[in-house]
Amino acid sequence: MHVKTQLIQLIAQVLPQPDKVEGANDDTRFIEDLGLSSINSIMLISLIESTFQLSGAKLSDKLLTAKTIAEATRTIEAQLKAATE
Amino acid sequence: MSRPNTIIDGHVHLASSLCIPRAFFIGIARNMHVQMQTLGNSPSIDTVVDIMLSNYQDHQGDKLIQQMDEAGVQSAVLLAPDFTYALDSDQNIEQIAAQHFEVLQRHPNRFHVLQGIDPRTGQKGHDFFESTIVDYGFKGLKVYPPCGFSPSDKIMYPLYEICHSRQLPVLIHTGPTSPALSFATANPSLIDQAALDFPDVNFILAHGGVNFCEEAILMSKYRPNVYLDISGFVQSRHPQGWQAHLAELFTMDISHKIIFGTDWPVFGSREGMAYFLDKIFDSDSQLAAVSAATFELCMSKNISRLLGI
Repeated sequence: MHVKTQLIQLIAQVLPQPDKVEGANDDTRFIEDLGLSSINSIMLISLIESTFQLSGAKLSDKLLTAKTIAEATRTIEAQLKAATE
Repeated sequence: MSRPNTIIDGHVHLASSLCIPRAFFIGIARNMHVQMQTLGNSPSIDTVVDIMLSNYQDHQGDKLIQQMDEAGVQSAVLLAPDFTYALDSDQNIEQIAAQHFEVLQRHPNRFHVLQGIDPRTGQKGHDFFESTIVDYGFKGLKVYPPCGFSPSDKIMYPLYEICHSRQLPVLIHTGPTSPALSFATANPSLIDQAALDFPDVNFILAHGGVNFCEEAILMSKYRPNVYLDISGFVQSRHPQGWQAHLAELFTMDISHKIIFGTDWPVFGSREGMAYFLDKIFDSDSQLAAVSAATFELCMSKNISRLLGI
């Protein structure tokens, strides 16, 4: 499954209103469009690490500061690529 | 709505894993774990804790200062709660106070520290608390009842006596906290007896504008020496969102008692302080009807009065 698709599914799991991810695209913003809080973000990063078998403080920091779905997707893809090299 | 000239954040913490025990984070992680497990995913509790801790490495307050600068916050009340009696901690309370003093020196005129001390430490603890006022220039007392005592318990009174004699404010945690601690002593009404017995000491109900609001508002409205802060406002359960919640709070005729606070870094590590302040002063928000004079009280004047600054 595409990283972005998986990411959107994970976001839906941590949002108080999961239907907010309907129609989400690259430009969808975590705070303004989805209302993702800091606490929800910690859960999302936990799910990302668990789902994609990734870890590390730098990854957490990058994901925490990612503003859009595209940014977070790129971060995950880069980490996955680095892990296989 | 234009911003007041001065903004003081009345409730922040150092995002430092040295000041907050791992057990505190484990409690929060367990709560998240239950939710995620129910949804079919179960990252380990340690994984969640490590992610939280990676965000608590600002041991000297530099990141906090950056946040304050970006948000236009001139100074902040930096809270140093004492969890060391209730939970195993990396540092003792003397080391935690010394760390906060170093931050105070590193960033002159930016912080007003309220020091916590568990009342069960007895005379030694009372003396130590007073020494942080004299030697470090700290500005008041931080009380954390979920560690296992009521804020009106007589064991607190020697500390309140010090606050009375030195005219220091007392900020008391109310409402939910880490599940590693007790919620039984987190109700704002528990301050009533102490507030009655120490009429010259000013008590601030931390998060009182967000949790147990009915009780906190009544205490603030009818006890001359009880105030509340709005830290953690993003957690408001108001159906129209936190701006609507705060707009209602400002209609309660207690504007002279409401203190602005973000509770950084607990809420806002993703959004940032500037985001929230932009939202508060957004001319399209429900808060647009709040008067400039009311905002001035909330954003700086109320807390300045209590701190004597």
